[in-house]
Amino acid sequence: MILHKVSTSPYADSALSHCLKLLTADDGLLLLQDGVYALTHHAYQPELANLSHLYLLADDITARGIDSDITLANATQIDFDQFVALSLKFNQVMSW
Amino acid sequence: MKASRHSSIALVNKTAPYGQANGQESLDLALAAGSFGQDIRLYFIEDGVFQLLAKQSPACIDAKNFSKTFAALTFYDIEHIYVCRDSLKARSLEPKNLCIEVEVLSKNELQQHLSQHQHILSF
Repeated sequence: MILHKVSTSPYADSALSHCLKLLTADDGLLLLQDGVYALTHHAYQPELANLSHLYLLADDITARGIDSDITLANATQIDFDQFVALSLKFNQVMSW
Repeated sequence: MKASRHSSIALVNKTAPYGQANGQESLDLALAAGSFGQDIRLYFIEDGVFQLLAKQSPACIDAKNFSKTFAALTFYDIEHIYVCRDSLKARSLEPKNLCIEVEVLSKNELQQHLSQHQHILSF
């Protein structure tokens, strides 16, 4: 049970793609900072929509004006306190 | 071999050696932690596998060949060095191209190994 943390845009580097290769069903994926732009990426939308533990840092989505229509139904938007709680809930945190 | 959940640290290297300082910093951390008797295991995935190539001569780009240090890890009781098979294959590499003996892991084995550690630090 690893919480994978992706904080860079999928248009700029391969962090998200590399992370998704190693993600297991028990693992969580947290998109934050520029990582939230992944929601807009057509190539990643289907895979993200199938994840059972997908978390988004709400402030980073709001800050970047990402349309709420494309935030996925399976995703949980979290604030910073929940981010802390989440990092304790998972056994490990891996930053990509 | 399973790492014990409560004492081990995974260092995951994902970047090529000379574009950034990540590789050198990860190795420095490994040596420091090894000196203090920590249970450290090194993982090389994606472009990180390039750090282990045997025939590096970076003097011509004014960089230090830190790959020479990998051979010394055993003196710091760092015996577990794992490499992702898919990452090697995608880059036309085989274990014989690497500067040290490593254990090659499938994707599933890698997932299992990583989940065993107490901490994961990625570089």
